[in-house]
Amino acid sequence: MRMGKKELARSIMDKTFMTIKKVQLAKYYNTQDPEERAKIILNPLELLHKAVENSKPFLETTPIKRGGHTYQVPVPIRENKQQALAIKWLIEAGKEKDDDMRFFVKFGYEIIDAANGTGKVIKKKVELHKRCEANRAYAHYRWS
Amino acid sequence: MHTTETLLRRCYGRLPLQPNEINKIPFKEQLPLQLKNSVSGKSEKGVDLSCLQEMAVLFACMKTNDFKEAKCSQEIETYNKCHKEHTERKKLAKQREESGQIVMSHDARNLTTKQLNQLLSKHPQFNEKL
Repeated sequence: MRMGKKELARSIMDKTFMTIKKVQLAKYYNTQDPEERAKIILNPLELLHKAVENSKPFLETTPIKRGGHTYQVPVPIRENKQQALAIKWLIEAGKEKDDDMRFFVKFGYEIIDAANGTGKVIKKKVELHKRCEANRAYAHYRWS
Repeated sequence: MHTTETLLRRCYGRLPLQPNEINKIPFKEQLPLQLKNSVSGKSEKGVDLSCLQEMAVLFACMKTNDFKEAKCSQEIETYNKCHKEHTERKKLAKQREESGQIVMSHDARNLTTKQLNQLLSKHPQFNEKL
C-alpha cells in the first residue's frame, strides 16, 4: 500500500486473485484426470501463502569490514524480514517490464509460479543462497 | 631509494642503539606507571558467531541437492531452531547483564568490557599521587 491508499491496494489484490482463479480453473477443466485435479489448488489465498512461504530466504550476505577488506559474510535472517523480502520480491517481479500485461496479471502469474517452485522469485532466492554458500568460508572466521 | 649502507650511515653522528648501549640511556617516565581501574569499550566485540556447524551441514546438503529446499527441510529446520535458541539466549544474557547481577560463571577468556569493569572495580588500584 502506498500513501495510505488502501482501496487501491485492495482493488489490485482482488484483480490479482481473479486472474489466479481464472488460470487455475482453466487448468482444472483442461484435465479430466481426478488425480491431477486434486493437485490443483483453486484457492488464490492459499496459493499466495504458499508462494510467500516458498520464496522466503533464510540466509543473506552482509558486508563486514576487517583490516581494510570488506567481506560478504553469510548471516541468518529474522522471520519478519524473511516474509518482507519474499513479498517485496514477488511485487517487484510483477512490476517488471512487460508492455502487454497489467501488473495484477503478471503478479498473479508470479504467485502461481512461486507456489509451484519455479519462476523469477525462486531463482532470485536460490541465487542468494548460492552466494551465501560461496562465501561460507568467511562465516568461520572468529571475528574478534 | 636509500640503500642499507646509506641508512646505516651516521646521521648527525647517531646510530641505532646497540644491545650493550641500551642501558646507558636513562628511562624517563612520561606517563604514570599505573594501570587504570577500567577497560575502554571502544574496540567492538565483533559478530557473534553461532550455529556454524548447523550452517556447514546445511550448506553441504544444499550443494549435493542443487539448492532444492524440499530435500533439505530437516537441516533447514535444525538451523532455524539453533538460531532461534541463540537469539533467546542472547536476549536473556542481555537482560541479566542490565539487571546488574554479578558476573556469572562465564568463559574466562571472553569477558565483555562491562564484566571486566565490574571485576576491576571490586579490586581497585589506588592510583592517587602521594
